[in-house]
Amino acid sequence: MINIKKLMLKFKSEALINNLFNITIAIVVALIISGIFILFMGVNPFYAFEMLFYGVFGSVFGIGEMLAKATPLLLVGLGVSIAFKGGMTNLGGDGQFLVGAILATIAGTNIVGLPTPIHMILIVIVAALGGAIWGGIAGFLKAKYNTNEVIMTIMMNYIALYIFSYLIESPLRDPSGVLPQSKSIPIPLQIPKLLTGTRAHIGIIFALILVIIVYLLVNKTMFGYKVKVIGISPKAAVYAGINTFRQTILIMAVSGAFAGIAGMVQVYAIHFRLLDGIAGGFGFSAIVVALLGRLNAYGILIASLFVGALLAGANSMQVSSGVPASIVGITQAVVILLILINQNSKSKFLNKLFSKKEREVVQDE
Amino acid sequence: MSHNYSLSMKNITKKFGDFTANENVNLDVEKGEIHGILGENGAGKSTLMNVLYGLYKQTEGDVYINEEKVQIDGPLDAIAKGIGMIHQHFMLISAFSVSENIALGLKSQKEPFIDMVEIKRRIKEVAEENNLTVDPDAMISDLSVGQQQQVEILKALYRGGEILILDEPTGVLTPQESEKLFATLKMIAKKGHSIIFISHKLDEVLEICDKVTILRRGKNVGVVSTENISKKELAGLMVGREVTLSIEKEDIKPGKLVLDVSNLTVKGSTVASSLKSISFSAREGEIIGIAGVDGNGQRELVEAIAGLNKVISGTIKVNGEDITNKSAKEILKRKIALIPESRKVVGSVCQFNLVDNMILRQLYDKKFNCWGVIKYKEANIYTDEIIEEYDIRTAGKSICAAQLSGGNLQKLILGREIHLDPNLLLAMHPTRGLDVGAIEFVHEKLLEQRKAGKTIVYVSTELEEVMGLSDRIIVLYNGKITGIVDQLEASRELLGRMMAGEYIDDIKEASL
Repeated sequence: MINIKKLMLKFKSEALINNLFNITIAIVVALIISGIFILFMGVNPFYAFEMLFYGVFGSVFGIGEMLAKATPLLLVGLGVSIAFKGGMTNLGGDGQFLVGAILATIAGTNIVGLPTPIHMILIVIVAALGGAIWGGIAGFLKAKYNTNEVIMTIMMNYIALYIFSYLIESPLRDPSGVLPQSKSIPIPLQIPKLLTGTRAHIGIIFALILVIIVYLLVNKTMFGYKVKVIGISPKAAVYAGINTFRQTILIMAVSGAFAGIAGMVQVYAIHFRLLDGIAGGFGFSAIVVALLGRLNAYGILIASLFVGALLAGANSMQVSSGVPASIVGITQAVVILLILINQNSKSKFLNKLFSKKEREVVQDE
Repeated sequence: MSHNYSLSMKNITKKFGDFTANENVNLDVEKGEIHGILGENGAGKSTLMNVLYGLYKQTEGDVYINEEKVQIDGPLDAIAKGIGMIHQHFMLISAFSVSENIALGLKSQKEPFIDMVEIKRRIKEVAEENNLTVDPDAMISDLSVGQQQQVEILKALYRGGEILILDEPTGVLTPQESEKLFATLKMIAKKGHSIIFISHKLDEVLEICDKVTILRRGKNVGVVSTENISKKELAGLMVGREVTLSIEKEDIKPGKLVLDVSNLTVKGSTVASSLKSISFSAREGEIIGIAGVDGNGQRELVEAIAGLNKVISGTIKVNGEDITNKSAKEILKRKIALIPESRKVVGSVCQFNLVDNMILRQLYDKKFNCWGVIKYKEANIYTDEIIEEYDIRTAGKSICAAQLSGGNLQKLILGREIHLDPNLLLAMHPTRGLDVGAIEFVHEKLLEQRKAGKTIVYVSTELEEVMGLSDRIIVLYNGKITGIVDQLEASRELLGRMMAGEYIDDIKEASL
């Protein structure tokens, strides 16, 4: 019995090491490819990456910047991972983020007279609800008409974006401002800073609590169990008596709720008002975060810090070496491509590429 | 050499990593011989045939065709060398005609145009030579399963197949269709073709084959002539120990009515599998066998009772309560257990560990669910109990279900369903693909349940099993019941005719 247990432990850690190994290779390959592009721009890639690294870890400001970027990524990434676990791809992070931001702003600027803590809780709930509805619509359409949730969530992004533009253009527009933007959030409701002189805020602590909650949700509760069954085998889910119709909507709604909360946090801690471009492609980067983190809540935490560092460092790289910050978009895209190819190819080519052992798969019988 | 072997496989070894699927296997087939390959699931039959058909490359060993050493580089090469494979699941396009299917993939004389006239002429020629009755213009979708198989055989012959491999060819046939197939095969063999007949059914092998090569765990355990060996001896060779071939059943007086199905109509995946107003009932302590060729409504029936398929009209009552079109969850609550047809996709979640699989059917039970939090402590204990009781061979309960062998996974599902303490147990092909030991175990457990006064609906295409286990047997054909017979009345011949669509009343009338 003891031997078997030891074997199991070995097996588990082997899988983990394999995972880490694959991810590390994916990141290294992505950096090499980005490096080639940097080379084409006539800049020494090592210098560029040095500047990127220095930009993040060279100062408290840089670290704060990393945390500030990581917070929304972490929140949206957690949500995205739940959809992935349920066998769905939620590319609607941006849209759900915006709806959450809009409702949170309305609740913050229009309701007066509530005690601050209660008001704050209300704002978070409203933001989560907004994201949940936006994600839930795609879930409903999938459950009812079997539409493709990838396309639906992307389209919902556009709808949200144009509603957002309209709102800050006229009904929610701050009449005193020059730019199209909403009134600012009252100071007592703003999320305090974590490190003075930086943009890091205590939203990250809130996000950390959610990491633990998501971990427990996925691994210890019936909700998580049902999500996983549906994700792996919808037929087994029906057999288990799970109402897959309701569950599909619920999964997308919960997934969206996280993005909605991220929208609220971004408004209340960084921008203090609604303005153009606040979603900033977090929905897309969150996919990278979720996949890099192997859909594990703690993995996602680490991945969000990594991508956050990449985004934060890119700006200082641009300033000091002249390489456009958008180069990290290439890095992210290559990471996703490699991870997806490796997940879906039977041969696990990342493994093959770097390990001498040839593995033949036992077929049939 | 004194023999004239059309095919020889010598010392074939095939390894997949550390796993040896075939080890020094020899196979010699003479011209005009029907040669059986017998073995349990996982004995290495398919691996050997895949080597022969060029799908796998052997690790060691050689293949000789007509005494000449050959290297087979893939299915196309195999066909060119005169090897024809008739798969268990036919490779025919149902929207095409017979001749179109046969011409598919072949070079035409008049490229890029198809010379249909010539193709039809040759089809008729080949069919006549081998005494096959096939209409070249018929659509595949209009043909019965038996006829489709004839098309597959014709296709192989048309392509110059000298050595035909038939992989479990009778699995989808009625006994009468099997008889016809055997006649065809004997005819073809007489013409000088060699036939390799893969099966795990002892009776068939004894009936049709001249010689049998028996495989066990990837190794040759013998080549025997079917003339001087008994069924029991053959079974012993296949399994490697004594086996009891009969099912012993106690007499039990059926109790009160449990399942009452009346005028049930269900839309199925095909017209043939859609149920058309069927009625039957089952009592306590009764095993109702559902016989029939696959796809005649068995799955639809079981799924309708379990709440997985929508009922169009009619009623299903369990213990007097109408459960028609209730949700699967509601039906599960009423303790109706189901062993599904597919143990890997429906019956279990392959990436889940054994504990998670064990609670799959009790998600809403207070036993494992405390305000939405899973009680893993209880679940672990429960899993240990079932592993112990059902003798599930596993490296521990934290491995995932995909790592269990078919037999052990089925034991897990069986244990889980029986532990629901069901009022009604629906079992779909519970022994399909299992080895003899596991089959015996499943039978034992089901009979135990019967003894405890449970009602069991047992669906199987294996007539021997249905006849051995059931108290009453319902035969489904084309979504209708062609007859309900008592175990004592049942015979292969009678059930076979009912499976082919004859109504029991007509059969009885005709014999009077």
